[in-house]
Amino acid sequence: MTPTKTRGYVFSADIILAVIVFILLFAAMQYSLTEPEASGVETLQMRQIMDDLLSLLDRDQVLQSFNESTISAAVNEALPARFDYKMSIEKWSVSGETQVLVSEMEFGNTEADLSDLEFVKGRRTFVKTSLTGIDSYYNLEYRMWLK
Amino acid sequence: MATASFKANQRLGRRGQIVSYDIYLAVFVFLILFGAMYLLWQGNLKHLDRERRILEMKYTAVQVADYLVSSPGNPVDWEVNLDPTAVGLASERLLLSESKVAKLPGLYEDGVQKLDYAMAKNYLNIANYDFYLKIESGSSLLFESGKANDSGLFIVSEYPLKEARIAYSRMVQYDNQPALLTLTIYG
Repeated sequence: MTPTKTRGYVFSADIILAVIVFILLFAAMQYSLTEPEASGVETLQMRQIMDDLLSLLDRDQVLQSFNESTISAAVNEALPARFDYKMSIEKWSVSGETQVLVSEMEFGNTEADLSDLEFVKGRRTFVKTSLTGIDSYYNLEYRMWLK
Repeated sequence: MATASFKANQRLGRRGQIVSYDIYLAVFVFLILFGAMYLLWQGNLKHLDRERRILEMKYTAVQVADYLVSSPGNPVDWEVNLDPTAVGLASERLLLSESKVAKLPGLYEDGVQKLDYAMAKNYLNIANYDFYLKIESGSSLLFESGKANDSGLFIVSEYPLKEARIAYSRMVQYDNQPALLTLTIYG
């Protein structure tokens, strides 16, 4: 073994080691910085539109009609065409302490298979009142997605 | 033995040359990589700045749209004297006042006094961004407001797509019908 072939590469060896460590750290940092992050605003947008629409229909007593064709016609008319939905409403009657499920209905695109779709889900509870108090209350649940 | 080797190297005139090649190579590699890392880092800074800006625009659009459809503004009758300190369009939550909407800046209408675009932008509190607002029902455009050019076209329609442009919509009642209000922030 000749001494000139085995010594003198400490700087190169050192920098190669440093560069490898640096590249690994930098790659990790680069990945974490550039990985797209879901902001949630798009999801919020979809949920907001349906919540606004249900507020309007609640205020105009359309939801309280508990009529499938009336409610679905109002939703279909107002909802932007790029969205699709399905909705269910349960009607509960209230008599003193007793609450009884009277009826339920489902409408919208009820056949849609949501297993491969990204969708938002929301609930709303509303009531129907008379002079004597609350006659019945309703639990509405919807799922909404982009077509 | 080491002394003998040193003397042999000295005689050959090669003293210290291996160390020099080594450090030149090390510095060269370092500089190349340092330069590459610097360029990548600069790219990252631009990317981060753009992400921050888009996020800020999204939240501005969400907040301003919410205020527009939930509040009458300040003062509540700002549309009478066109003296708002905050612009809101609601007579009640989600129910838009046609008289307030009509005072938003837009295309010239004979006899209708409107807010100046710069003033509206200031009192919408949208920082340095520009805005475009439209209200539509189905495929019918009911109203639009924003910055118009001399040809009467709203500038947002000409704005390059590569620039940030964020839109946020709310469902409202306007002109006795359900309608979609969309606020676009751009710039």
